[in-house]
Amino acid sequence: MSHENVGKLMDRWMNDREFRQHLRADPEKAVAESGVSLTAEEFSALKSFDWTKSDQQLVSLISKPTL
Amino acid sequence: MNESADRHDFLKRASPFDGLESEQLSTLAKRLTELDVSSGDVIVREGDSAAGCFLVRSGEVEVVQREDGRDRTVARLGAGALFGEAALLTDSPRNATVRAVKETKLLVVKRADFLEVLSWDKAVGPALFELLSLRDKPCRRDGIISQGYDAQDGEKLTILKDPIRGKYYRLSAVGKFIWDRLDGRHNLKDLSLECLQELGLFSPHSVAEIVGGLASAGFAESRVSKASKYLPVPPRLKRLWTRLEALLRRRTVIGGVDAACARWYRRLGLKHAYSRAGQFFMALVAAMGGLAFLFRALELRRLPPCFQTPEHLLCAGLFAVVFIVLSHDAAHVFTTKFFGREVLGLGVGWHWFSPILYVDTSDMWPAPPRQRIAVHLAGIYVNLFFAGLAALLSLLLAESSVWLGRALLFCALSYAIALFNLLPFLESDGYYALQDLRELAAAAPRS
Repeated sequence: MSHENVGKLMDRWMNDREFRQHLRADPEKAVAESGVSLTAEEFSALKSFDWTKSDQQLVSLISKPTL
Repeated sequence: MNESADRHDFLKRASPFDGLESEQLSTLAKRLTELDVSSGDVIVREGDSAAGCFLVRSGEVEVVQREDGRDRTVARLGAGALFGEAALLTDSPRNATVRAVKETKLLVVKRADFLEVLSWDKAVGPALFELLSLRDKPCRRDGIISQGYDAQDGEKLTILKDPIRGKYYRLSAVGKFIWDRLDGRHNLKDLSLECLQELGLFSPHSVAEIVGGLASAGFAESRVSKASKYLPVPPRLKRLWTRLEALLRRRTVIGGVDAACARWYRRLGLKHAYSRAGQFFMALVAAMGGLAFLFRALELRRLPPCFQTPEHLLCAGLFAVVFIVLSHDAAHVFTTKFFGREVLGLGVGWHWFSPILYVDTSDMWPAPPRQRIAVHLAGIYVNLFFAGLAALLSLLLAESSVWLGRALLFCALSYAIALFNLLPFLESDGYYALQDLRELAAAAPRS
């Protein structure tokens, strides 16, 4: 599947700060207003992402006796 | 409406200059020049030097990069989009060819004007840097070691280790998917599309956050670092605070100590201390010793001899503190070795208002939370053990003995230091243990 329309949406997302904020806040409305039509599968992929926040820099485990 | 006012309104709507004041927009609008191009015209060519950047006023352009001898269209840009800024910010040649795909009107921003605009407003610089990072093709740094493990809740996690800097980064399964593709050929669009294709997930924000996190932590290289000289300078007070903090939290690390730690762990036969019998004995001594300390301290009718002169007190206290600190650190070291992990370094330093000795046990990150908690609390546990031992021995000493006072002073200091290090808001052992306990607790309902 080429996901051509998702590519167009990505171009807009990368170059338009307002659109980025809009897509994050309300994906359904942002896509509808962008004029880009997504397939049901693509739309579900956009809405269903479970952002776990596991990705992060880990602090150095420095064991230091505090006096 | 005249041309200048028209451009002013366009700039007001066009990211990333929309944050400028009206007067600044008017100044910029007057300095812009117009360029009309026809379909197929090349506006900038990959490898050329850059004299300015361009705003698409109307029409459409495509951004093409040469890869493996073939042209690849990486983006199509419409009205309001800026291009050509990366070469200005990074002082590099053009990294892509841009050509018109229809009749297109462009506004040209000269290099000097563009760099001047960066200093006009605090919001414009970050907006341009955001654009730069979103269009970037980051690359993994060399020498990073990746190690996978199953978290308590069954999630597949990966720990990245930078052995040179001693830094660690935790990645989710999606994060690992992205990490594997940071080869300098994928931009955010490619990564997001591959996430959709392979994982059925489409979240450009999350991809951007993962890539941005890796780049800012130094695990991936990005063009943004080349442009750092154009980044806005932080306020003077913040710079001063950063310097002061660095001064008050100085550390000198001695690396390459792991082999010696492992040797001493074996030579002292410390594996027996971690056996069931060894742990039972230590727990018993710590508990009984605590009671003995209370009993001995409460029955004292007068101050022991060593408390009666400040010199004696200071001298005995100093020796006690040195032993407590060394045994505390040794416990972290040997517990790390017991779990088969590496001790990254030992060091001395200054932490806010006191000197410190410290152990870098960061290699425990890929270990399960229970093992990490054991390492965090090992120092306190050993302090309680030795305090308990001293308290039990004090039961054998007469009230007139000079050693009674020393033993009780050692106990009191051990308990005070153990308690202090248990406080969760001091970024010490108790703080780290609580973080890992929270991870265990968060996983419990789902497992």
